[in-house]
Amino acid sequence: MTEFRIDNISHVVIFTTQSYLSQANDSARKQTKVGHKCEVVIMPNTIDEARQILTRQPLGSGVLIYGEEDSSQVIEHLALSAGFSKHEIWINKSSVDNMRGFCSQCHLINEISSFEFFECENCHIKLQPSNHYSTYHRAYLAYPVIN
Amino acid sequence: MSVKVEQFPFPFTEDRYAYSNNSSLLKPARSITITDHYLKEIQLKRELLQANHKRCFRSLPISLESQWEAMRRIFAELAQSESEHFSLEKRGNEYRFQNHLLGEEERFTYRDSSSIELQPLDIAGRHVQEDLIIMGDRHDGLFLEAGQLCFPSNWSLTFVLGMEFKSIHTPVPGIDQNDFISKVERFISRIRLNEAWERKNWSMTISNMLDTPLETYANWGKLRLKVTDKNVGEMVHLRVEVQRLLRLPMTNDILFSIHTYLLSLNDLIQNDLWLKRLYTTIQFLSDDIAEYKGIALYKNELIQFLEKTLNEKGLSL
Repeated sequence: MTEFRIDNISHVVIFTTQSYLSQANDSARKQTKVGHKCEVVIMPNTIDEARQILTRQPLGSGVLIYGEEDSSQVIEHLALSAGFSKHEIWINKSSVDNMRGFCSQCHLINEISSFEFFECENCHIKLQPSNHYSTYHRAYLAYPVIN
Repeated sequence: MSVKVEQFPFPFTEDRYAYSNNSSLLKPARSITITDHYLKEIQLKRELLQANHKRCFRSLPISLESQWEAMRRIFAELAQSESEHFSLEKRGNEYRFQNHLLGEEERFTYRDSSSIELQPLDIAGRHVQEDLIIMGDRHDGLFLEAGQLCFPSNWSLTFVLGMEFKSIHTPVPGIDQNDFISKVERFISRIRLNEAWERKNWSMTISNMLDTPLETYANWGKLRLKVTDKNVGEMVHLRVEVQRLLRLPMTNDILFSIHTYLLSLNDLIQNDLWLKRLYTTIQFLSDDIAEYKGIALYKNELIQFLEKTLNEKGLSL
């Protein structure tokens, strides 16, 4: 796993679910050792609460996220909306390594295992994943197959 | 919805096609053009927004300031450049925009979201033929942060929301060659406040449908299989997007407007110069570009049709 090290960051807020708390605490200790001020936050129950935590962070802050795919993505999007740049947000990749295919017809993000054809779980259209990747959705765009 | 020939922005200035940043500075800076199809296209836009709002409008909260600025800018531009059809009154922070073509008005208090029922870009877009996109200029690049997109050429606003400029253009063949896309991004990032640049992009559409989003590709994409040497002149349309980039002075973000025009080949070939330029462009088009632009499936029929017309007219290249 890549270490979170950005020279111009002085303060780090770490969002974590209970299941990743020990990893998050380890990370906080490492960040403190290299001179970053750290705040560990258990994943908030509401979007408003998470937004408030993000917007009160001082300039020069970074965001670390430990959690499952969905909750990590929500925090990432809130952080982007709060003005953090992509370089100031880091997500624990170990929990989000599955490939995802974005259905271009109904927008459902499907879990996929390869670039082979798959059927969308929602609209049941046969789709072919492309190499067009969204870091925002963390998914590959999948096109319908027309016979 | 084909446009009149005299209003069609024919895109080819040379006989061969290559990707280039063929932008030109607009003086005065403008984002919007009103054509004879205004009423029909606004009606179509509003029907699409009514039926598929989530597909046609998307925004991130960070875009709200830029949306306000874009709406005010668009209404002011319309009132100034098309004063017989639009007006804008300002009293303090209170605005009243009147659209005399539609017999409608919009009243709002600037930057007060409680004064409007839709988001600002969603309101502004309902009065113009253009699709409107906000690109946030952040210190780590340009990001697509809001858009009202009713007439896309085979792309999905939902998919590209929040994406970086470079990633959005991943599907374009050869876009990484010579660091081309980075150069374009640098060019955009250097556009000065209140400056607007224009370029033309082109592709082909089967039928005269303006709304060809990726989300309905399964429906309209099939039409590409139905092109024959008999119907190519009627079915195939040259699709031109007049794209304008304007730097918003308060937020420093980019307002990207796209005005889409369609012209059937039967109408296009009435102009001899256009016929010759289209023929040479298509003939020398590489396979990957033809595929990307959706031409590959009927490229042979297209070339045969253009060659036959050139011969009938006695035109040489």
